[in-house]
Amino acid sequence: MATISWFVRKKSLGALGAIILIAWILVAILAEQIAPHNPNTQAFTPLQPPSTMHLAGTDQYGRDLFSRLVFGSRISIVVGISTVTIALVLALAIGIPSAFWGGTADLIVQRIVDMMLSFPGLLFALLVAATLGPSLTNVIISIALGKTAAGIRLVRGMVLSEREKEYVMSARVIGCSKARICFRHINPNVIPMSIILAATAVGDSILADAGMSFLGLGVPPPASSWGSDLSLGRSSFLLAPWLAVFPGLALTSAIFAFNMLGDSLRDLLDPRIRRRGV
Amino acid sequence: MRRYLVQRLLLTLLCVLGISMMVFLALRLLKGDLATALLGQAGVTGAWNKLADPEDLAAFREALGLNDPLPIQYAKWLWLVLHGQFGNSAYTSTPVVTEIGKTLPVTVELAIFATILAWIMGVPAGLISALKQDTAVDNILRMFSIVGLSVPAMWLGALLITLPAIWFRWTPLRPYVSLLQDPVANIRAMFWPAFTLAVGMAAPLMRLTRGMAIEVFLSEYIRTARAKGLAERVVLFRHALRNSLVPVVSASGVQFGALLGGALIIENLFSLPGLGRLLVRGIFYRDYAVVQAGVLLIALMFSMINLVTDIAYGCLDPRVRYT
Repeated sequence: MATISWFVRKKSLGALGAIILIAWILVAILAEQIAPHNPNTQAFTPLQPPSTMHLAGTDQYGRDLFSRLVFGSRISIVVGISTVTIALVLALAIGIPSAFWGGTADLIVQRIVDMMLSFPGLLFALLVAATLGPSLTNVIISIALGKTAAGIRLVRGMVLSEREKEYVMSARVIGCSKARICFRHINPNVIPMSIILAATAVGDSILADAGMSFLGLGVPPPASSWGSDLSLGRSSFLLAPWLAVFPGLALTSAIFAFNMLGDSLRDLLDPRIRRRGV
Repeated sequence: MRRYLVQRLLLTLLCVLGISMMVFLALRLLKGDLATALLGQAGVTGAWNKLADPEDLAAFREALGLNDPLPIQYAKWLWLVLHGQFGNSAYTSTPVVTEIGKTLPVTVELAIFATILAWIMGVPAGLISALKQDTAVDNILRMFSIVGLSVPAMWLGALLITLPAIWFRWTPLRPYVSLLQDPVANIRAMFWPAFTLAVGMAAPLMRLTRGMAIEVFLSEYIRTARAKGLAERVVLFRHALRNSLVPVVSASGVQFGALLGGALIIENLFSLPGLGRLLVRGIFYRDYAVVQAGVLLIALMFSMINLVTDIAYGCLDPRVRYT
C-alpha cells in the first residue's frame, strides 16, 4: 500500500498509465460482459452518430463501433504483450551468451541482427506477414522478429558494458568459472533492465499491429483490430467522423499507458538517473 | 579510421546482399506466384479476370524462368542487377528503374521535410524546457511531447483529413506535384503529411535534447565558463549546444532512415505516390522485380545513413574514436 502511494506521488504519469493499462486489460478480459452488442452483427442502421445505444456510433456496415473497439482491445493487447514477451525471451537467450562468449558465433549472430535491423520495421513485418499469410499468430511472429533483433542489440550492449566492470574482473581474477560469472553477476544486472525496456516496447508493438491491420495484413476480418477499424472507416470519415476519432482514441490511450508506465519504471530503476535525481 | 570505414562498407554490402536473399526467398514463398498473378489460377478467375489453361501457366512459368531452382533464379537476378538491369514491373510493364525513379523522390522529399519540421519543433522546445526546468513552461512542453509520442501518425493524419473538413470546410489533401514542376504546389501538398510525421518524431527529439541539455548544464566546463564571467548566451551557444546536440543528431539520423521505408501509412492516407505505396502494391500483386529492387534500394540507403550517422557521431564527439 505504502509503495503504491509513493509511486503515485513520485511518478504520477506512470501511475496514470498503470490505471489506464489495468482498465484496458479488464476490458479485454471482460469483453463479452462490457460490450453491449455483438461486434460482428451488421444489424443496426449504418453511420449513426454516438448515442446512448451506440456509445461510439455505428460503422458503414451497421456494426456497433463501441463493441468492436472493446473486442479489438483483446487483439491489440494480446499482440502487444506477446510480441514483446517473445522478443524479450529470445533476445536474452540469444543475446547474453552471444555477447558474453564472443567469438565466431557472436560475429554470425551480430551480422544476422544487422541484416534484420537494416530493414525498416514495418516493411519487414509486412513482408513476413505476407509470406506467412494473415492470421493472429503470423502477425505476432512478424512483429516479434523485428523486436528480437533490436532486443539482441540492446542486451549485447548491456552485457558488454557489464563485462568490463570491476566486479566482473575481480570475479575472474579470483577464479570464478565463466558460467558462474554469467549467472550470478551479469544476468541479475542485465535482465531487470531488459524487462523495463521491453515494457516500453509494447506501445510500439501495438502501433505496428495497427499499422499492419491498416494496410490489410493484420488479423483477418471479421475480427476487429483497432487499426483495421481505422482503415475500414476511411471512405466514410467525412460523413462519420466518429469512425476516425474513437479507434484512434483507443489506440492512443493504450500506447500512452504503456509508454508512461515503462518510462516511469525505467526512471526509477536506471542507476544513472537515480543518482542524478532528474 | 580508414580501416573502420572499409570494414563498415564491406559489412554493409554483405548486409544488403543478405537482405536481398531474404526478400527473394520471401517473395517466392508467397502463395500464388507471378504466373498466377498475371494469368489467373488454372481453372479459377485470376486477378485480371482471365481463365488460365494449366498448360499456359506451365509455359508461362517456363518462359519467366520460374521453374529453375531458387539459387539459380537468384544468381540470374543478381547478375542482371550488377549490370544495372532491374527488369520491368509485371504490373505496369514499365521498367522498374522508371517506377522507382518516379516514386523515390517523393519519399525522400517527405523524409527530409518531416525531419526538418521535427527539428524545428523539437530541438528549441527541448532547449527552452531545459533552461526553464520544472517551471510551468517546462511542464506544458513536456505534456506536449508526451502527447506527441503517444498519438500515432496514422490517427493524426486521419483526424487532420476529417475534422477540419467538417468544421471549417478545409482539407489538407492536395494533389502531388513534383518539386521541379511547381515548388509552391509541391510544398502545399507535402506540408501536412510531413507535419503529421514530424509530430511523432519531434517528441523524442525534444526529450532527448532536454535530457542532454540538463546534463550538460550541470557539467563542470559549463560551470567554468560561467565562473569566467561569460555571458549566458555565449555559454549556451558556444559550449552547451554543440555538446548536447550530438546524440540528437544521431537519433535524428536513425529516424530519417526509418522514414525512408516506413512512411507507408502516411503515403497511403495522403495519396502520395511514394516508394512505400509502390512496395505494398508490389507485395500484393507479386510484382517480384519491383519489390526486390525497391527493398534493395531501401536497405542500401538505410545502411548508408546509419554509417554516415555513426561517422558523424565520431567526428562530433572526439571521445568516440573508431580505431
